[in-house]
Amino acid sequence: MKAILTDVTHCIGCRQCVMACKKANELEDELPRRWVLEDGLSAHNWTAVLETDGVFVRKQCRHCLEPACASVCPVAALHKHESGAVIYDSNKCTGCRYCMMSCAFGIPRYKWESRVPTVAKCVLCYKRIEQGLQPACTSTCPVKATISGERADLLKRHASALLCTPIATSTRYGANTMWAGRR
Amino acid sequence: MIYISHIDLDFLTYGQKLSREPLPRLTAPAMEAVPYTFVGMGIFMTGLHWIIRRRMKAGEGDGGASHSVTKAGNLKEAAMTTRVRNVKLGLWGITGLGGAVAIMRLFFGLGATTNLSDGTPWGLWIGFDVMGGVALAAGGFVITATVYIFRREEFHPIVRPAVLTAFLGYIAVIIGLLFDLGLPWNIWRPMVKRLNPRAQIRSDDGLHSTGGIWAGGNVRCDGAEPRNRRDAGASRPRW
Repeated sequence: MKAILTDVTHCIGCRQCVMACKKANELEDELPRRWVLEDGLSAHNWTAVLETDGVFVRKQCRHCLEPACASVCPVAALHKHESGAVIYDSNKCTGCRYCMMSCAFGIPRYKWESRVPTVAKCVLCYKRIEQGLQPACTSTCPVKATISGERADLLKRHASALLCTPIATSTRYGANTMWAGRR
Repeated sequence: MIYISHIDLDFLTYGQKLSREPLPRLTAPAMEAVPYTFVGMGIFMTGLHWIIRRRMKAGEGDGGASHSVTKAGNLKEAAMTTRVRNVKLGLWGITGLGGAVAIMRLFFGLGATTNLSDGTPWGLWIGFDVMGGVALAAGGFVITATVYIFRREEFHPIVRPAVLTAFLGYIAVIIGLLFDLGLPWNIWRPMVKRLNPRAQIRSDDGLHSTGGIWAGGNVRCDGAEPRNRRDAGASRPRW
């Protein structure tokens, strides 16, 4: 199962991942501001780089191990793909927006401008993964602040940073998503 | 998704502090209880019905329950005062506005007509359409259960208006939902896809509304019987 690891301490905020994502997934131009949140994510923008106190943090779908969006979807339009991605099937979706209400990270977004609106979110570029490629965002990162690979490998390789730092390891949401301190 | 960070990343979440457990695990107990509750309620109601019927049979000796069916009153149609006409005009105006917005939604999408956004994917819109409509419909089911399961015959006169209200409520829900859903042609999918209890709740909702509309349709047909028969005081068919 693939996963993405983002090292906040390495990120330089160049936003190349954002542009690579937009290009790889053929996303359209940005929606008007009245329909989107300030974090920069939208149906046409699946990842964003936020800045707080000079620290750049990339925001995107966590591809949870137990995704709330897939759990609430009454038609199973969202599900955990074998590649590790939580993917979306617009052929099944009724457009009820339950996934948007349930996601603790506020990831699924809606195409408010469309007359046949669907949900849109990061799909971990699962089609690229099936071809043996990396997700677009991690393959372009110039400083390797965000990397992808087998989830178990990533955890093993960064075990020292994740588990052995003096700052308490802070796992939230089970093992779905985790972050750890590093000084 | 794994982060390595020297700052607290709780701000990445959607307005709330995250629990250590994933959300599906928090709701799982309630969801797993749904089928048992469903069957249990059925057994409970049936038992109650049986007990009440036995009691009523036992009490029949001393007079029994008063069984009053109101005669079809010859209600005189209210005179159309100016005020009534004005109110009706206003209501039709709101209806027209709603219809216009509904048509606009088909051409310009939900964002342009409802002012919903990524921050509030469900808004007043859902509150009114689903909660208001379903609340109206629930009244019909409660009154029918009161009269036909719990045998409280004194509520019989209000069964008809209650079921009619339920019918209108369900119609409101369905019409509202058809415009609210992004892809309404997939609305049948939850009814056949029984993957999780939530889907089951929704499919039961579908059966519910089908039943409600069927019953409501009966009320309408019943009310449309020839006027002269009603005037002659012919007993109304029980339904």
